[in-house]
Amino acid sequence: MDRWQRIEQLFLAAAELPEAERATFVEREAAGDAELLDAVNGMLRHSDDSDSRILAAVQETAVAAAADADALPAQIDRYTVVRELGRGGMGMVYLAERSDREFRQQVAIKVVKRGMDTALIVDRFRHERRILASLNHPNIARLLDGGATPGGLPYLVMEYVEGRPLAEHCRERNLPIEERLLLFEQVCAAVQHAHQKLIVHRDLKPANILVTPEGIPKLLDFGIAKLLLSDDEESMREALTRPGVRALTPDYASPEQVLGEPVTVATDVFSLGLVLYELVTEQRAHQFGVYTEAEFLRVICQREVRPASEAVKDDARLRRQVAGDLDNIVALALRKDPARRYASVEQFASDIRRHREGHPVLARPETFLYRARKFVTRNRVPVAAAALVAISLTAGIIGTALQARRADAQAAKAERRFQQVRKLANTFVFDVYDGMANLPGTAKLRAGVVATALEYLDSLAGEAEGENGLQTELAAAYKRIGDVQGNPGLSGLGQIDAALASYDKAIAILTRLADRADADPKVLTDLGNLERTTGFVRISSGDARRAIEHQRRSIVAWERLKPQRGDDIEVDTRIAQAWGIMGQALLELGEAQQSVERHSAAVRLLREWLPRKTLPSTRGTLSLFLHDLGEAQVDAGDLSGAVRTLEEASAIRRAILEKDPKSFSSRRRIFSLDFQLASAHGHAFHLHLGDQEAAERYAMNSLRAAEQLAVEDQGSERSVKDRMFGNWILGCVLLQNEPRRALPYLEKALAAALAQAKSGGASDVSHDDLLANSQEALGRALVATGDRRRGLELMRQAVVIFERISAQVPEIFDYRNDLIRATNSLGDTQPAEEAADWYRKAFRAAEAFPAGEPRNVRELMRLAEVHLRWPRWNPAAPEAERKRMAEKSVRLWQKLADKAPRNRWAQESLAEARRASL
Amino acid sequence: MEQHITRLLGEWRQGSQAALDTLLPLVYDELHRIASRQMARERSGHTLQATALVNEAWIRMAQAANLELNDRTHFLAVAARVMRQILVQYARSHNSEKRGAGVPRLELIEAFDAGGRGGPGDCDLLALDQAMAKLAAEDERKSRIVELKYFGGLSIEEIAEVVGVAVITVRRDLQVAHAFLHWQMSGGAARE
Repeated sequence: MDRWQRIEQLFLAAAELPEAERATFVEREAAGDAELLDAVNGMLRHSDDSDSRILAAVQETAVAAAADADALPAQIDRYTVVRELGRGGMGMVYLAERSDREFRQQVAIKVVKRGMDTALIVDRFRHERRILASLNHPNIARLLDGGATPGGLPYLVMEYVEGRPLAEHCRERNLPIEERLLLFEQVCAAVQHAHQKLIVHRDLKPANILVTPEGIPKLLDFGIAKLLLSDDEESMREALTRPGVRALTPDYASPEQVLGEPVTVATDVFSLGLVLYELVTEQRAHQFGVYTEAEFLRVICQREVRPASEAVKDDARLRRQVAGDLDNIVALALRKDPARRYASVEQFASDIRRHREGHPVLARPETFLYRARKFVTRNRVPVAAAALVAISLTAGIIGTALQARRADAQAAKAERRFQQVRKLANTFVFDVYDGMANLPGTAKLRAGVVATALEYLDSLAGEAEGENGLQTELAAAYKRIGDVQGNPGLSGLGQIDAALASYDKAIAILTRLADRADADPKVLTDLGNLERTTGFVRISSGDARRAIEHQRRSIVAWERLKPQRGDDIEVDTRIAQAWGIMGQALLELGEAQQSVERHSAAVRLLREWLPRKTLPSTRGTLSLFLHDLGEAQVDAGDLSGAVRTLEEASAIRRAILEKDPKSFSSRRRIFSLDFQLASAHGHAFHLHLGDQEAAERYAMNSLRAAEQLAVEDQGSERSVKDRMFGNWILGCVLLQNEPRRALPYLEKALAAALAQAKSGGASDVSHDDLLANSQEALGRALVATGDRRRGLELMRQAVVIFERISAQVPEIFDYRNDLIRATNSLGDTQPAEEAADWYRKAFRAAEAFPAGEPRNVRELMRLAEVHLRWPRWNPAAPEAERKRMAEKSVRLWQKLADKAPRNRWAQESLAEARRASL
Repeated sequence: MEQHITRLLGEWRQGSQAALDTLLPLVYDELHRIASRQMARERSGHTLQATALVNEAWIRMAQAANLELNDRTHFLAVAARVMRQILVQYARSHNSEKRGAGVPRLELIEAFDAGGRGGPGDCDLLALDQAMAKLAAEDERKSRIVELKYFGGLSIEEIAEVVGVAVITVRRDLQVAHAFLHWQMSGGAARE
């Protein structure tokens, strides 16, 4: 428990007590921890304070602030303030007058807002003043004066432009296209003037261009303009990118601005292109679906702008006027690559003039490879499109950067570029994946993203040889893709074979890098994690032995890190996780007791950390370990121990869920815990505690949770499977006492299992197992409720499948186990003569169990079952043989009955075994 | 811009930081506009309340942008944050102005001490803000709940909805937060 949690708990507990008892209680509980004692006592002293002090603090400041916000300064320097013209995030603009005897002049005064007078903004103000002072053009609002108020707030006095924003001016007067072009040429002249003074405006947009009633356009707001020769590029870059002070307007931004690349006159050419587009079409060229970074990237850097003529609405004549030259002019200004636009604003303006006068223009239609990447289809939802763009951008740039590196020339530049790319790769590829993984309902889209990403990675892998850093990142990318493809613990696509292939690629890369004494700790960390994950997924694909190997190698990697990292909870957690997965693999192999030992080791290792400082995830991890331990305990036959363990896991998980109620994975864990608890209390196929009521409650919760999760994550294989399990567990719980109620659930489970088995890949033996289990359960319910024909048919089908898969994957004991159970059940439904054949078959299958004591409770059950039935098909066996078998049967059933005293079936079977032995 | 608000709120709810960054200045300006108007109307009797202001901002922006009723709590949550920023900014500049005007620091501190608490109005707000920051470092949710209640005027039930916890959890969090904040505002471990 961390410090704050202890403070909180102790405080709450003490606050419950009468005041007189608190001090001693806290003293005792704090046990000499002075800091803890101090905090809790401090809080207790104020536990009964009313909140009036908080209210007053907020209230008084609000009143004062509101009064202040309202106050219009009467005078700024020699200027009398008339009214407010506007306000932005950082400053206010006032209309003011200067009266010198006969001369009266209206001015606009721009003042930094109180509270916003940070060094950064004040610098920006000074910067704008310097810039404006050097400009003198009829189409640029003039700087008249400037200074600072007595309070120290800087201000600028500007020519007051009484006018309308450019776009509104044109629309309101319904100006014909020729006049709009003339206005635009004047704007260009102003920008060109600034460029000649080596100033780039950087924020050109219709709102920054006002047109006076006389029809003269005036350019405003050089607030973020840049001196091309200035050396304070870094500070300006910071000014532009700092959160909250972000000056860039995305609607009129250029690709280079979005990408943080150098800004040149070409940037203004681009923005002017956008302004022209809007003047001509009355539509914005860039339209964003959402206001996110990824969307800005997609729209501004990737998507081609629709030709201006196509954007013209309801005006066929205008459309014809725009089509051709104007389309080409706009397109040339709006090229993504700054180097391929008009070389200057003057060139741009001249082309417009030539067009107006009917001369040929420079701009030509785009003829060569300038098309958007084909895989960015327009119809995908933004998240997928953004993902694809991020990936294509990243991968494309990585390739380019590598080539640039090899070329040797401009080495420093290439190196810088390479580092940028690396950053991009890490941020975008991974953030996008993570973002999608948490979005329900994106299963199909994820599949498309993954296919594309893999293609890129494979081609990059070839080029990246000898680049250790990049190799590490490639391995990480392969791993992420593997996660998306099929890690069952994540929002996977269920493509387990593909996932394993990606993981193996990553492991191969990392193992190569780790194969030296001074291996990078990061490589060892990645390798340790990846071996663990891969082993985990291997279990799902039925390869438990290899899963254990992966865990061994994972533990080796982490142990190698110990000398450097010392006593480190992360290292121990990772090692514990590897123990845990080893335990799962052992469980698959039937070694229940060994599995319990591994899981207990994992739980112990983590519990040792609890009194010390833990990670935020530690409790969740502990819950997972307990979950697995409980499962192993069930198989080892320790049912009440298992229930205790599972309940503890569930309580921890629920506490976590309370903090984050929407967490998909926590809810899925609880679904799974409820499934296990239902199973331990009353699953027809297993040894259980015989508490039908509890079993039904847990099973119902499990099904409900699965249905809810399936709705939210529609389409994912995982959610389909979860729902199948939910139906199956409830059906199996009801099967024993109320087979009729079990029918609908088992029907649903079977339908789902059938669909799964059809779609599953070759290695998905587990799908066949699920199918046969569903067939058997429904078959038994049908027979019990009178539909013998279909019931027996299903049970026979189940036996056929179990036979096949137990031969196919002999090392997974449970398939054989299933085969024995299903065969005996089928025998139970038959008249004595046919039954004998089935019983014999089951007995033979059980002979394949390893010699010695049963390794787990399921083997024990199956052995007990075949021994109980032995006398039924060996009525003529010699007395000594009969006696030996009967005694063994009693011994086996005694064991089972001891483990589950309330289990009726075990007790009745024990009684039957005893009768047979007499 | 106002037609974007519904969308921005939706995106922010789904975790887009960019959406929040776009929303904040909008709400900021709206709050300022309302504050100015209210002050003009009620210049004599200062009945203006920060939380009422936030609510009025909601009503006006809801009308202007056709917001749905179920956007309300999330809007208020944004507004609460903005309100806190505005007030803290104000209190800070006010404070530094006083210092800048030549009041020696020592005197200022002594004046606070004599009063037996953190200081008058806006200084207490800074103390509250600092205490909330400390609380957030320990327990982000509790600090956020305080923000929603005192800067946004959300009811306990509304807070429970925005934060996504049970009402009883909100109450318990507030109990702990109150004690912690008052303790901190009274000097915390250092002073007592």
